[in-house]
Order: sequence, then C-alpha cells, then structure tokens
Amino acid sequence: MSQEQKDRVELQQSVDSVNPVTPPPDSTSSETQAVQSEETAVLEEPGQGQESVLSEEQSERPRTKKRVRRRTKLVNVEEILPHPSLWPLALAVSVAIAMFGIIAGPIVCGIGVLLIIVSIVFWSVERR
Amino acid sequence: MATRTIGENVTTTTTGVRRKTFSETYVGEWITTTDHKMIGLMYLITGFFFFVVGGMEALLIRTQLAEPNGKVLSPDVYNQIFTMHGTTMIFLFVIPVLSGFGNYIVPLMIGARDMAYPRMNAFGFWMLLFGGIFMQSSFIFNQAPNGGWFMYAPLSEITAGHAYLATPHMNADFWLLGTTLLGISSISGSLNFVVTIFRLRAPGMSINRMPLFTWMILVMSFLLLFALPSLTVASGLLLLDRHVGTHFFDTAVGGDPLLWQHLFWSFGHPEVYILILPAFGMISEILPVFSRKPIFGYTFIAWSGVAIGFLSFTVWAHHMFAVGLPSVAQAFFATSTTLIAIPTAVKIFNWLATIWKGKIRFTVAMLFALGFIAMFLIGGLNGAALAVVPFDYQVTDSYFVVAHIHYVLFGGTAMAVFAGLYYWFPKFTGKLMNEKIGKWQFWFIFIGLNVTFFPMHILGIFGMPRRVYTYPGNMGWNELNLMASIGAFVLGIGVLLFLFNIVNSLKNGEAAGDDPWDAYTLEWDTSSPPKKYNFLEIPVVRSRRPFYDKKYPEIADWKSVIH
Repeated sequence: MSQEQKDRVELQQSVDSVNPVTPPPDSTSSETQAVQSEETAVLEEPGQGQESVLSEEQSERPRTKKRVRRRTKLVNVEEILPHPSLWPLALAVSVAIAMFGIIAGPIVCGIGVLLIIVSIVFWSVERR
Repeated sequence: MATRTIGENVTTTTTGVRRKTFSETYVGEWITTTDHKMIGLMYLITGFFFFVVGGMEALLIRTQLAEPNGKVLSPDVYNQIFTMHGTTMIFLFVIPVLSGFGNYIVPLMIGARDMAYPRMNAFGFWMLLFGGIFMQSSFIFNQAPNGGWFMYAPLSEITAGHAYLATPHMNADFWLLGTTLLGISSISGSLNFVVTIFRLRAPGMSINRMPLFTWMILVMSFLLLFALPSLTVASGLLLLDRHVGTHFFDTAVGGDPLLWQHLFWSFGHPEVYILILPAFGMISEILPVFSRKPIFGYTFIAWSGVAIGFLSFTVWAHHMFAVGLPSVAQAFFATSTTLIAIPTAVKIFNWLATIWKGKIRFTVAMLFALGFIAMFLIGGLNGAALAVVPFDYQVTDSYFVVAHIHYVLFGGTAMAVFAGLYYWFPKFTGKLMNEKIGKWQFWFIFIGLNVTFFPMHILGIFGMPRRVYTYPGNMGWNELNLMASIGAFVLGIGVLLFLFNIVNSLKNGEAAGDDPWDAYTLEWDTSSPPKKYNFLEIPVVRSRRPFYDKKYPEIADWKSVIH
C-alpha cells in the first residue's frame, strides 16, 4: 500500500470519527426520515492538512456511536474548490483593450482581439 | 507526495516546504482568486472606492450650485461631473456593492461552498474593475461623458441634423463602451447567481425556505439578464451612428431619437428595481434578527419582489410622458406605475409588522434599516406622484425628479447598504464595527440626506430644471440651494465617519465571534471569517431559519409551524 493510499485510509477513519450524526429530536416525522436518508458531503483532506482542519471541528462535535446516515462518497478538496486562475483577469484586460481600441484605433483593437483569443484558449486548456 | 491544505497557502511535500507559487503569495492570491468571498470583498472595496469618487463629484456639483451665478466649475466640466456622478453611483457603486454582498453572502446563506462558476465570477469582477477604470480614465483625456447618465440621442450623436455638432469628441464613446464593459460584468454575475441559487442550495432548502436576501438577488439577476440587452443594443446602434454613419437616432435623416429613449428606459426602469430589490432583501434579513421575531409575511415579501420584477418591465415610458405619447400609452404607463406601488407597500407593511411588538435592539444596522423604511417611503410616495401624468408634466426634468431618485437610491439603497455592512462586517472580518461611531455616522447621514434632498422637491416645484450649470439670483432658489449644499457636506462628514469606522474597526475592533447577533441564517453557522470551503458538512435545512433551529432545537421552527 502506497503512502497516499495509507493517508486516504487514515483520513477515511478520521472523517468517520468526526462526523457522527445525532438522530433528530422528532424521529417519527416524515421530514426527519428524509433528513436521515440524505447523503452528507464530507471534505477529503489528503495528507497533513487534515489535522489542522479536521481536528478543530472534531473538538466541537458531539460523539455518538450510533450511525444513522449513510455516507457514500468522499469529495476531494480539488473537486470542490477550484484552482486559482489568472485567465479571468487576462480575459477582462483583453476585452477592455479591445473596447478601448474602438476609439483608439484598429491596431489597439486588433491587439485586444488577439489577447482575447489567447486568454480564452489558455483558460480553456487550464487544468481544472 | 505533494499535499494541499484547505485554508492554508503553503504547499508542502514529504521532504519539506517548497517555494510558494504566485497564486499563493498575498497579491497573487487576490489576483487569481476564484473564492466567492474574496471576490465579494473585492466587489465591495471597489464599490466603496467609486462611492467616494462619486461623492466627491456630488460635492463639486453642490459647491457650484451653492450660490447663484456660481463659477467654481466651467460649464463643460460641470456637464462631465454631473454625468459621471450619476454613472459612477449607479454603475460603479450600487451595482458592485450589491453584487459584492450577493457574492459573499448568497453561497453561505444557501449552504454552498462557492458560486456555480467560480472563474466566471472572477471574470465578472475584473470586467467591472476595468470598465470602471475605462470610464474614469476619460477624465485624463478631458473627455469624460457629458450627456447625462442616460445619454440622450441626438445630443450624444456626433452631429445633430446636418448643421450642428453635438458630441463630436470621445465623451459619449467612453460612456457607451464603458457601460458595455460593465454590462458584460453584470451578465456574467447574474448568470452565476441564477445557476448558484437554483442548483447549489443545501438539502432541504426548497425555494420556499430560501432567505429573502437570496430571493431578491435571484429576482435582481433575472432583471439584469432581461434588461441589459436593451442597453447594449442601444449603445451599439449609437456607436454605429457615431462611427459608421448610420442614422438610427437622427431625425434630420429619418432616424428617431425616441427610439433611444424607449431602448434606454426599457433598461433604465428595471435598473431602478435592480438597485433596490437586493436592498429590500437586506432589510428583510436585518429587521427580524434585531426584532427577535421571524419575518412577518415571508411569502408575501418574496412574491411581491417577483411581482415588482415583472411590473418593472411595464413602466418604462413614465420617464417619457413629456415627449407626447398617445393618451392610451400615457394611461397604460400611469396605471402600471401606480400598480407597482402595491407590492412595494406589501413589503413595507410586512416589515412594520415584523418589528411590531418585537424586542428591538437599536444597533447601528437596525437604525439604518429603520431609516431605510422611512426614507424609501418618501421616495416611493413622490414616485407615485410622478406617475400622475399632469403632475409629471409640471415637474418633469426638474429638481423634483432629482429629489425622488435620491430618496430612492440614497435614502433607500445606500441606507440598506450601510445597514448590511454593519450587519455582515463581523462575518467578513471577524471584528465588530464600532457602534458609537456608527450611531454618529447614522445621524449625520440621516440628517444630511434630508437637508440635502428634501429642499430639492420644493426647488423642482418652483421650476428649477435639473442639470443647470448655474441660475440667476432672482428666482427664489438661493436659500434652498444653499441648504442643499450644506446638507451635502453634512452627508460627506457622515461618509468620512464611516470610512474611519471601517479602518478603525479593522485595526482595533472587538472580536465578533461567529454569531454576534444571534442570527437565523446559515452564513452565521460558519466561522468569522468563514473558511475557504465554507462548510465542512453541507447543512440540512428544515425551516426558513436553519441556524435558529440548530441553536434552539427545543423550539425549532420546523417543530412548531409549517415551513
């Protein structure tokens, strides 16, 4: 088993331990039953980072051995938080230059259009 | 193995710490961020920066008009200043600030981790910033827009007819292209809000359980999506007139200047509701928390917002009564304009019922919210007066209209923005704003805005036209103009106090904790400021006050009433 796999197993155990679910007070209502069947999205935190984030949440949550909800999928941090990107800024600058070119002259406008194309291409191929 | 830690900006390897990438540096993080909270803050900072710019322009206008035959500004510069004051306040202050609140608060309120399209969200902000810079840079060329914030054709054409030069330089071009850039920003932001609100709500948060601020942001987004194309088309046609030689708006060669007015106002009047609906949403969040009651008439408030949204597309020609519309059209637009007062009044009565017999806490946020109701009521009532065609004939394009729009947009939207900022500042920063300075600020602004704008009603009835460069001393307008100018400076002091309070609170503010107001909605269920991922677990919602349910499970809303 690789180190990453070990980390994931360890994380899974950690997440399981910090996300116990207390049964809702009125367990007879239909709404409560609906809540019980909800799947919970839980952050998967690979590696060392899990300690800083999960441990402080851990201390705030009541523990219970009874598990009511089914937890089927761990969501990776990379999936839910997008990477930072410079291309939105680049595209906005390019559009502004192209617009300015309409009153400043065709060369400026052409540069703006070229930059727009470049920005869109790089934005499109950027790793998500 | 490289690892990534949420909320931290250092990337580590198993062998040690490597150098930060650009996006992990302080500046790089702001420039490349796709986090809705940072983008929301950037919207707010940009909006308030332009608020100061627009405010200084207002002070210049009032200085020029303080006395008859004023010579503080030249006529041409005066035209540029009043045009840019309106444009800046509407396009670069109110919309960005409301978008900033929406960006920061809506995902938290609905239990989402970010907006649906984070990169498009960043793009929308940058378009706004560069649109603003583009417009304001016109001052550097001494060619700032000078045709009023609605840029009427044929005044904004290069020539009017065959003989007269109208706006031959780039003044109008800056406005037309600038608003197009800002329009792109607004469209991308609106699409993002719509998809986020429809697709990313927490489990259990049906549309009937959404916070009212989210409701109003949703309606605002639809209004922007449907209203902005009209402005973009109008701007495109005018640019063609100016640079390609078409004649869409030139009467002398078969064009029709009324086409511009129809196109502009079919954007412009929904725009007024775009500017006020999110303010309604803020007030609907703040009043219940500081009255310790649930909002009264949730369903009516939510759906009256939708009704206002629909009706806002049917009233545009009330800005054009004086152009000689057919009497049937006048009757239609007068009726529809009066009709819109009904859903607006529904909101006001529900707000009053919310605070009725509540345990009211007079925090600064609450003071501004109450001030909003009073001031917006005045703005709404004189708006209803303007819907009466014969009265409109008398005061059209006079200072009465200036008074009306300022009671709506300053007395209304700006007061709500201040209320919202005092309310959510602890969530944004983890610090409380100073309440004592805040109360001083409230009274300066409340008194200042009434001293400034109330006399304008009388000036309008006395016949003072809007946008005049100066006036002779024998018109009976002197004292009222002086009073309005003094009030403007009192307002300015209030704004300075506000800026000081922000800086002071950031530096020395008391720690706020996660839930300083004992509030009801999900954004308060996060740390202050929230972590990057907002919620470790997506919350499950069972009523309209999910955080209240969580804090008080024994008296949770879902136990006692149907929500």
